[in-house]
Amino acid sequence: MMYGVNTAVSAAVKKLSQHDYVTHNLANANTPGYKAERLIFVRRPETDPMAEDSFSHDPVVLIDHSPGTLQKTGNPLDVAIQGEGYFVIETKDGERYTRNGSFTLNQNGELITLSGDAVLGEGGRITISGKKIEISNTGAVSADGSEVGRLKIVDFKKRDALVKRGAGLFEASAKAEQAALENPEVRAGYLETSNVQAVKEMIEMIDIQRSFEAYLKIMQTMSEQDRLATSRLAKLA
Amino acid sequence: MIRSLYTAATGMLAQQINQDVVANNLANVQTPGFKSSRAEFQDLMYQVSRQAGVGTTSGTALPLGMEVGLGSKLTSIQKTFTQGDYQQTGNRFDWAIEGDGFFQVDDGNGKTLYTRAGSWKISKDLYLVNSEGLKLTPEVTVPAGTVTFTIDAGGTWTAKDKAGTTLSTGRLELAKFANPAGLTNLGRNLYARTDGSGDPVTGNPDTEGFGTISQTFLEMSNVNVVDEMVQMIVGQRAYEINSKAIQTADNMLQLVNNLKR
Repeated sequence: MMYGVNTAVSAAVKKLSQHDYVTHNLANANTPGYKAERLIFVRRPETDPMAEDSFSHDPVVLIDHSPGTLQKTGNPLDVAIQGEGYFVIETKDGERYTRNGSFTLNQNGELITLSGDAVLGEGGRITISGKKIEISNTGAVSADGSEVGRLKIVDFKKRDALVKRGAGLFEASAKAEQAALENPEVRAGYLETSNVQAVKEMIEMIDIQRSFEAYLKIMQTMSEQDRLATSRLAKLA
Repeated sequence: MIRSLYTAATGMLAQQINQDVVANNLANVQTPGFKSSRAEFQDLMYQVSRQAGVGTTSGTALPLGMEVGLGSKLTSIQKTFTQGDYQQTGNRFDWAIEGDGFFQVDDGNGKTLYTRAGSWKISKDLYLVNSEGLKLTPEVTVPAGTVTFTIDAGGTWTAKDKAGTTLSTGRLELAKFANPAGLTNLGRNLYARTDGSGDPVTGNPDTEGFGTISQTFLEMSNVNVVDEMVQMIVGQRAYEINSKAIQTADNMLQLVNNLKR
């Protein structure tokens, strides 16, 4: 009897953590370069199909890497990648990757993200001095007409090995298999919007809430059965 | 559960700031030389709720960790330095910059500030100043007895008297920044340099990279009401949906509380 209650409890708890992910997506509905994510539970194939307990499921965070739409900002240092690829950012913990191309300059004239990490070009950091900055559609950065660097844009064969690290950054493990991207295309003066779709999230939220409700009903029913059983058994005795 | 309540709150807070920025833009739709701002967000750090590679009860290791995000935060409010529309005013001391560059004014303490609002007045000591009384640099004098005052596209200005004799002349200089979006906004249409904007490069109007001067015109605000309206709708809906997430969390908590009667 109690075993069944446990199953319902663990299912309800899973719904609670799924809701955390939906909420995080919604909070980032307006964050440039943000990629929506979903928590799912995958049953391990080797487990007994009859065992419906929480221990036979692995939580997996799926990140939707589909592109967001491009929004015009007019700022020459806002860059959006059109199509595949990620900008390469140098942080104190190593290289990180992002789709958020909202850049600025630091006191040395280096191209940095809004959190202050250097944006890497094909030949390392990009230092810009001059009065007119232009970023071409191929990612070439020029100051006053002369090229000072080219934005490094990479892609990954296995994107599911990318892990989020906050501030729009992804960390890639060796399993992600970095792949060179031929002819990346960027648009200066644009930012990629968040790819969170409010409708999807709403539906997910309704689903979560109703399933949660159902699991609680199961718990109630079971405890009611328990109560009935004990009271009737007591009469028999 | 409590986590998602706070996560949604960060989302609501972000949208609130977004609305503040939009409201400020709309309030300045008629401010000459005003440049619209945009609030910019980032996702917050992720909390590791399950490490990658940890053994499970069935003896296998989790391939990936489970990291839950905690919401969003404001990273910066950036100015957009696109060109505003021009309005003809007929006033000879109203100058608009067509193209890139800023007018330079002296803040009275020797520090140079920058502005796009070219609506000048004559001070008591016959210099051109902005409406705050800050002197345009390099100085422009309008001697007593000036009848005609002209400035050409290249910034060369001439003050002449009734007889047509030149009383004073000079050439205006503009300043440019590699990254104008990095300037700090001091309000009153004034900007100051920061590390993010880089050092100013000065030059005459109508020379390479600098805009030209149009006399008797003012540059209007570059706020686009339609864009702001769209931004406002998006912001409001995002705010709403974040509050729905709080409601959902609250409902689920309520259900739990009602389990025990």
